[in-house]
Amino acid sequence: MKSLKAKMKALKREPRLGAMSEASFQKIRARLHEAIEETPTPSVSEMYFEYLKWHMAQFLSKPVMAGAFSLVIVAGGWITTVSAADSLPGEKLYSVKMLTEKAQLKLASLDRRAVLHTEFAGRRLQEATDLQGAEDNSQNAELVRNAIEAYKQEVASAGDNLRQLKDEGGESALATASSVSQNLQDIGAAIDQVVADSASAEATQDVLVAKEITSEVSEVATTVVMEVHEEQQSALSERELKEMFKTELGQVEARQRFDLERIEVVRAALADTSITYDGLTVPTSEQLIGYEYPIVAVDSLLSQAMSSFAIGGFRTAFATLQTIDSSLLDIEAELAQIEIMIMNARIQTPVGVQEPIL
Amino acid sequence: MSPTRIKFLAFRVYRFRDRQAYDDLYAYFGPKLYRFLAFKLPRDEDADELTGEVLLRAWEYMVASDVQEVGGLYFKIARNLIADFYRQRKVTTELVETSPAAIQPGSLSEDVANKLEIEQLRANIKRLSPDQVEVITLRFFDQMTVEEIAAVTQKTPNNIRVLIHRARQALQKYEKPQS
Repeated sequence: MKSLKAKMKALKREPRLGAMSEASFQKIRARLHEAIEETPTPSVSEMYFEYLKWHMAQFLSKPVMAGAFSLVIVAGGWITTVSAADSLPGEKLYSVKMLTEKAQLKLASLDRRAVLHTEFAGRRLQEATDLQGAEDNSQNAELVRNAIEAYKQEVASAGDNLRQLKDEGGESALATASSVSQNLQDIGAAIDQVVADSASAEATQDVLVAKEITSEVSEVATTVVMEVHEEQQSALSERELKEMFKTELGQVEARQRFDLERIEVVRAALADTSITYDGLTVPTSEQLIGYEYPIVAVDSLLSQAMSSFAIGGFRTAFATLQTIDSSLLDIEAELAQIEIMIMNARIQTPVGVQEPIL
Repeated sequence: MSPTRIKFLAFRVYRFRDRQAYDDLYAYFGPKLYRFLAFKLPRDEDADELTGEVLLRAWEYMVASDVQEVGGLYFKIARNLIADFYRQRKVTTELVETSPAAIQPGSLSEDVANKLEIEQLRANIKRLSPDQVEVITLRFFDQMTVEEIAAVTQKTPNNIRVLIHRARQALQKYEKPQS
């Protein structure tokens, strides 16, 4: 008696057991050919070469982390690359890190380059943060400025690639814009932290400019997704839009809460009589209310944005979020100046006076 | 077809909209997809229709995105279309099937025995759970490996082995003559 396995194997061509007839096979094939136009393609060997390049680029584009790097290539260069991943500007292996990034960009397709630029922008920001936190700050100010400049260039390049992708009608514009937008959202949150940690007015100003550029490129990414949705009206593009809106909404709400807390901290610091502000321009209570009011008013604008989105007014909804973003940016710039003034005043408070914890 | 070749064909579709590459993917996955649908749908015509639909939708997706698991994509779309099929037609899974092929004259008893065996096996397979039907047909009819089935169904290989084992046990139990 045959085993079940052998019996099923013997009966695999039976139509009553789901075997596809030749007639069905050809009929479906004809349907596919009618729907899918045949387009000229390179030779198979050329396509294979492209595949190898793409495959290598996919591998190289993963963040290089020393612990996870398991590529088995016997070459001294790869071992050096592992150690260079954590290097900072001014260190010996930093040039290797830069060369590796350039190589990744060179091998990448346009859509992948846009995303890579945002990943590298995140690295520049991390480097700026690490340099600011380093003990020997004296030579670092210049390096921090350079890192921030490099950050701005990476973000700008991401924006250029995204625009180019959209203009060329790239099929992956939607997915790329989504990835770029997500990366920039994460970077935006990290920038807020850098501003909070910075003790230098100049560095803070640089970072705020960087944030503005990040916002601009975020807008480009949002516009790309909206335009793709307007053209395609697909479930996929609608889903991407919803995700982007939800993320941006969440970010704005978080910033609103954060900014209100900052004002409370400033208010408490200014009320502390142990800190002297001689010769400094201290904001009045009315001025602080003047910052608070528009932040609180963001609530009604957020409701407007959500209502617009709910009825399909995507452009209006995102435009409202961008308006909120601009006004918060202005307020945050002024708050940052006040916070730096307070920190400097704390440092200069005469010895013997107990310094309060902010 | 090896996983590397499948990935290469998928790349050709994504990067070059290569119809020939898609033909090759169809030649490999089409019959498996058809069988999967044939066990879930009431008629062969429905399996024909939905197989074509799955392939067309997958094409649209594959030219726009870099798909890592082509088989997984096909079967996921197939499952969604099966759900839509029953929702739209408001029918249950217990449908009257098309009648078996007529018995040809000749060695009647052998033919009858054969056809009875086939019908019995079909009926037994349809008694299994949907997951079990999926893995047992892919494994024993379509000769796919456990790893290939895992990729297509988005389950772990261990999970697949357990499902195959339980499906076999159930089929063997159904085959035992009633006392």
